[in-house]
Amino acid sequence: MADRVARIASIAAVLVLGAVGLSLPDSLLVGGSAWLAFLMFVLSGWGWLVVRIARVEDPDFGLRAAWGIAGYLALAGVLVMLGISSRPVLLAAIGIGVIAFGWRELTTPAPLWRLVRDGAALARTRPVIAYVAVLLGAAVLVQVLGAIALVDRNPWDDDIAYTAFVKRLLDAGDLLEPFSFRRLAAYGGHTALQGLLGARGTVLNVHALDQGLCFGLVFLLLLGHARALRTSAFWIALVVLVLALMPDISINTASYWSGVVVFFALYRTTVAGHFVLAALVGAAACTLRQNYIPVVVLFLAFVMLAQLRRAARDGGWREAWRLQRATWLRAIGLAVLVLVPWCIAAFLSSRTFLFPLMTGTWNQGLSLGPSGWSWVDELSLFVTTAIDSQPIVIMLVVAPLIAFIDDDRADRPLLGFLVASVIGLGLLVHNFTDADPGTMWRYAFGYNLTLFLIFALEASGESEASPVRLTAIGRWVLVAALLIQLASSRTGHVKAYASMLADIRDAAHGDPSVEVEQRRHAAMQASVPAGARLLVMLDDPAFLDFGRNEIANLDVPGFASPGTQLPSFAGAEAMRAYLLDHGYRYVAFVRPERSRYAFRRGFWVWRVFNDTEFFQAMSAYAIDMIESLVQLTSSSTVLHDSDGLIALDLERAHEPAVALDPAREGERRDAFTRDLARREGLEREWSLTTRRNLVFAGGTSGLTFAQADADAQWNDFAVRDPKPTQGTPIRWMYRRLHLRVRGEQDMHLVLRGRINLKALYTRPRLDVSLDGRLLTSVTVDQTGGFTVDVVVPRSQLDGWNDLYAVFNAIGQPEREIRDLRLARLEEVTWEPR
Amino acid sequence: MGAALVGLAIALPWLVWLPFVTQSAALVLLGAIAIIGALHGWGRLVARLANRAEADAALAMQWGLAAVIAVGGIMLALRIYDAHLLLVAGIVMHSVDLALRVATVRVAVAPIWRHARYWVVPIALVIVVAVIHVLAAAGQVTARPFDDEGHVFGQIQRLIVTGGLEDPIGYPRNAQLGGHVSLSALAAVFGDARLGRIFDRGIGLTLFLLLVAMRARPRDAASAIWTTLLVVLAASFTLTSTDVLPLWIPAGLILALHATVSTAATSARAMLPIGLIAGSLWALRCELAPLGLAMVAATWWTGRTAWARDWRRVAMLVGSVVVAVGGYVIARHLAWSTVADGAGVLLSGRKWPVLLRLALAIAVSCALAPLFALATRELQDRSIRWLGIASGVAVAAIATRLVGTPPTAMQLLWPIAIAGFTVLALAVAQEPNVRRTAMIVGTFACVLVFEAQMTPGRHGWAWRTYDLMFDVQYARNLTTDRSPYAELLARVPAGERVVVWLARPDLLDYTRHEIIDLRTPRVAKVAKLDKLVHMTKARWLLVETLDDAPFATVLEKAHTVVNTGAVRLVELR
Repeated sequence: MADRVARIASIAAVLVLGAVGLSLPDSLLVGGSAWLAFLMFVLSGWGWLVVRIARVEDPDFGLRAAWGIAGYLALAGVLVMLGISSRPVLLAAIGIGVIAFGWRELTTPAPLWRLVRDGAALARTRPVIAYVAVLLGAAVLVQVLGAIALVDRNPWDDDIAYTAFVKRLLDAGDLLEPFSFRRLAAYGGHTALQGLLGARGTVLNVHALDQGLCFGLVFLLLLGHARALRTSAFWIALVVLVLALMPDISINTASYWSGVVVFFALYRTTVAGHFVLAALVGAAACTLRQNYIPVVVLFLAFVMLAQLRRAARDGGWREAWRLQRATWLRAIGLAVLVLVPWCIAAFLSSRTFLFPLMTGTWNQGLSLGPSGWSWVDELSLFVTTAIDSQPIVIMLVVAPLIAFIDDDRADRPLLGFLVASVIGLGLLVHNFTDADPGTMWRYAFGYNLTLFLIFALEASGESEASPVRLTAIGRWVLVAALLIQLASSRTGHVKAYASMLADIRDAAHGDPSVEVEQRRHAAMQASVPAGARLLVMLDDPAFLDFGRNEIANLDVPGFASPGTQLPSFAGAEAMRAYLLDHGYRYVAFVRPERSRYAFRRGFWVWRVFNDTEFFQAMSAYAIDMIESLVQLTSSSTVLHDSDGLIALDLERAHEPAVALDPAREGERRDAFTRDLARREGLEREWSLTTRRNLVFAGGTSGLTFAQADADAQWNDFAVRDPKPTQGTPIRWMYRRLHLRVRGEQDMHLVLRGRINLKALYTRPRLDVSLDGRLLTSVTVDQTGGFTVDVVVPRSQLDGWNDLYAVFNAIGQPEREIRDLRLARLEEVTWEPR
Repeated sequence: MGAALVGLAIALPWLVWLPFVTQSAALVLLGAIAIIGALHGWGRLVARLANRAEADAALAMQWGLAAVIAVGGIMLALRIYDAHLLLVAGIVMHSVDLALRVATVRVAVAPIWRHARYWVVPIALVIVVAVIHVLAAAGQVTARPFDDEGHVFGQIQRLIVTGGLEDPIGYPRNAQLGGHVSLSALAAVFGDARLGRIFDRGIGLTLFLLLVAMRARPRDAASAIWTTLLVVLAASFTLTSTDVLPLWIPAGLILALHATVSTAATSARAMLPIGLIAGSLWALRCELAPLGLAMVAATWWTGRTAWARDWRRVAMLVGSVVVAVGGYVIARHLAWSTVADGAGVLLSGRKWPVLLRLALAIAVSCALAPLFALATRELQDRSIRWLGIASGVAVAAIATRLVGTPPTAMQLLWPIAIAGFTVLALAVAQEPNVRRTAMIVGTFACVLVFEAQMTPGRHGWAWRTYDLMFDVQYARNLTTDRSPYAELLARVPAGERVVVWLARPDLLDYTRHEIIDLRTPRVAKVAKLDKLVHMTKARWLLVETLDDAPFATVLEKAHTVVNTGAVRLVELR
């Protein structure tokens, strides 16, 4: 009787949590915390459904909840595909989870209350362990609460896209975003999970899912695995401590910890031999980030092939395949079944489900990689990424240890996971060449951290009977690595915890700007007829009602667009024609001088001359779109112009939309940027900027400004200028300037710059070569100036060519070449003759 | 499989001479392989002479390195140095030796195949690190204008075209005898003198890593982990040398010296590689001589018997040291004798009296050597203790300025430290149980790798690697520079003595004129420079500088024949 009462009380407590979350949608902390805890049990309920359907043994809470995530995402794919995944439907899905949770509680031999009772008993018998567990638990709990209370978002990703995706899902039930760059490479699984958080009536708890719920689930998964492995308490505490103090490398609300949850679950499910279920979890992982696909596929293939091989040893390959064929087919079939709806949903939105292999609505005139990129650049990026590992700082020492474990398990899952992860990282580097190592590790966070955690747990076994054994020195190196990891993360924790506690304290007051923004956006949206199609370019589209209008979000103007594609750099009228022809009569945007972040014209003008090639292109499109929309304001019906937000009715007689040749997009962008430089008086800056046929590949600083008159020796760069002026745009030259150039005809090359003769004491010679052939040599003149003026014949140009300009005397043995500031480049011309 | 491997090993060093290998990066890589093959060939010769045929390939390469230094020194003294000859002879020996030993090699590599699982990761890492560092070193050709292009590359060029190093001023002086220049000239065969840079940072590092892998012999998880850890550590290590100082080559030689001593047979012939390595360390840098000599003394001491039987061993030890270093000593003496004695005084810095320095060095050695030996108490390996003591002696000698001059000399502590640490790690890698030493060495290695990663700015490992890859990129586009001095020197009659102070002395034609390179910062003062120029008894001066101040007195008495603005040709009398 007491057991039954306790079980019912558990269910009631969970229901109360849900009720509190639902009834307090504006409460960040109380409502958010209750709802988050409630969702944990909901996911556990979904996991129970998976257990029952798959007819497998009921696992620990963490793994069950992870299976629940996989099960929910399998259903969510269908809902998103059908466009019915709105808030009421999500609430129904949550209801199913609650019912399943109750079902389990009433029928399982291991109900929740017994777990609590066993925990209390353990605390009595092993108080020290309990004390450490409470301490670590408190540290984790503070982080979870901090994530619930944190309302700061990344304005470049969350504000303009990710939060709006969640809002769209809740309002409209779909993820149709044909103009969105970010939608191109996302299936939407993470958004669907965030939808569960938002279903309580607010999208304010933007970090609660990943850094709260999933962060907590990772600990539960870890503890469940450690328990199965019978890992020692000391070792568990060390790993948990490392995890709890892991530096936060996330920069937005995309999938980080949710990736760890599904990969951890994938591994554990595979090790347990539930391959079909593993396929379900693997498919769920794929929906979170598309770059997880190769890791999931390779890992499962590795493990299942190892199983097949083992079976083949006994009875031959044919017999082995006969025995295992059904498992393979079921696993592949289930994965396809889960992924196909997500693929269809992605295709309906962006005409692709495998970006960038299928480009879809991606701008055909754009490239994801830098121009003239060579295998050396790619190798450089891969090696520096491997060295600069994050957040596990000495992954380069830890990863090889995995290769040397003795694993008695036939399928050697840990080695498989290592191989899959390394190849996955390699493919990531190969496909994402414009990123830095930090970005790579963010994308690889899910499987990288999982690999580390699993290895740290499994390698801890000292017993010969343990299926996974690492030699003593390997374990010692691992301990050293864990301690170094702890030491490396020591800085910043005080600040981080202080910040979390401040967020928790402030959460009681909510976010006052929400109401203002909601009113402002509602007023603007009200000016547009209900049900009409609306294209928006706003800092915070999440404040719109996606149910009222069919809204398309321009998160990165020009990067993605349906049909004949946005006619960028062709003027405002071409834009009008395109939008009207594609059914977008209404446009809303934020005035550039009122934009919070993303659509400030001045910022993009700065960036077009100061960033990498990819972001230079992004800047040009943003400026073009901003200028076009501002221009359309004077020739269209202004429905709303208040508080920085504008709504236009574009309807007017117009020429048919022109389909521009994507092959000449680069040319048009280049011309636009050059014209922009002329209009802004930045032509000298432009000449020192990467462009369509010229890339600054190395050997110089970024664009900067020098005031030679004020600092004759060029020694003190931080010169105090009583009358601030921009100064002369320059790039500091090191001893070897590397440009990549291309041309379809004879090209005119001019390099102009100066040397500080007062510091160098000689007039160096500058040797200019193209692909290893000397073009010309120039000696610096009496005043320190140099001009290279040479015509490069077409016959010497073949695709991208490496052009080097090498000084014969710039450098001091004791000083770093980048700090010399002895030579500066003031102009680079590379134009058809 | 073994036969195929031998066939590949025989063929690889010859590939660089195939007519279609013209791309600069391919030339550099295949050239490095050719050099390694040649070193192996010379090493096998040493192995046969020393009756130590069992030596593995990596150890043989180090012996070959010592042999090439020794033979190079003799050729240098005779002014018949020929890098091509040294290379081709080495590769021929390599090919013949392998062809004769196919069966032995197959047996030798069998354990590697058997334990392939433990070899894959470390060897893959060695290959990646080697390729990157060899190519990067080639692409770094324009990095350090003063030391490299002003001295070393000019000397390499002179050596290649004249077969000798007759320059009395530009010749390596107090701290080195020229061993490194003669080694670096081998690389210049495949390009220009600036390729000499690949020898230490590329080939030297590769040979060191190969030796580490071969000494550790990955055969189980523990040895594989140690090997991998050492390779990663070596790759992460910051050696911030400001010129083409030999660092990885001596580290490898010290490691090889220890390996040779610890496995030495007691016969007199077996002493040959020990003496050669000790002598070659001396020929590379005088700072390393105490270490080599201390190890030679230790070898004699540990194997000493009655003098009637022992003298052959002593003679072989001393003789092989003399063979390795003698050529360079003679060559330096011949070079210095071409100018007045006073020049040496002008070029030397102030030093304490030799006796005082010697006394100090002995005192510091006595204090340090036991400390070095103490660390190895747990390991019952006498040779490690000897290496510890030898390292203590070497450190003391450098610290008290008995050998070398700071700050350059201090950098020579690195190869000693690297080799010492590696020997310790390799010793604990052989132990079945993890003891305190292993824990300390393992933790230290992890901390060093972590430090390399976390070092902010340009010295950080990732940033350094980025720079290396920038150099690799340039290695694909190496240009052959045009000499800016040829036109000016055409006005000087052939055979005349010319004193030069130029940015790129490697672009001079050393066969046409007798060139004395003044590019020694120590004399960049008016009075000293005037005296030095006078002592050379040269008629011509070719100088490249905007700042005439150091030459003020010289120029007053001279007639400028041509002044291009950057370079000036002056007739001195």
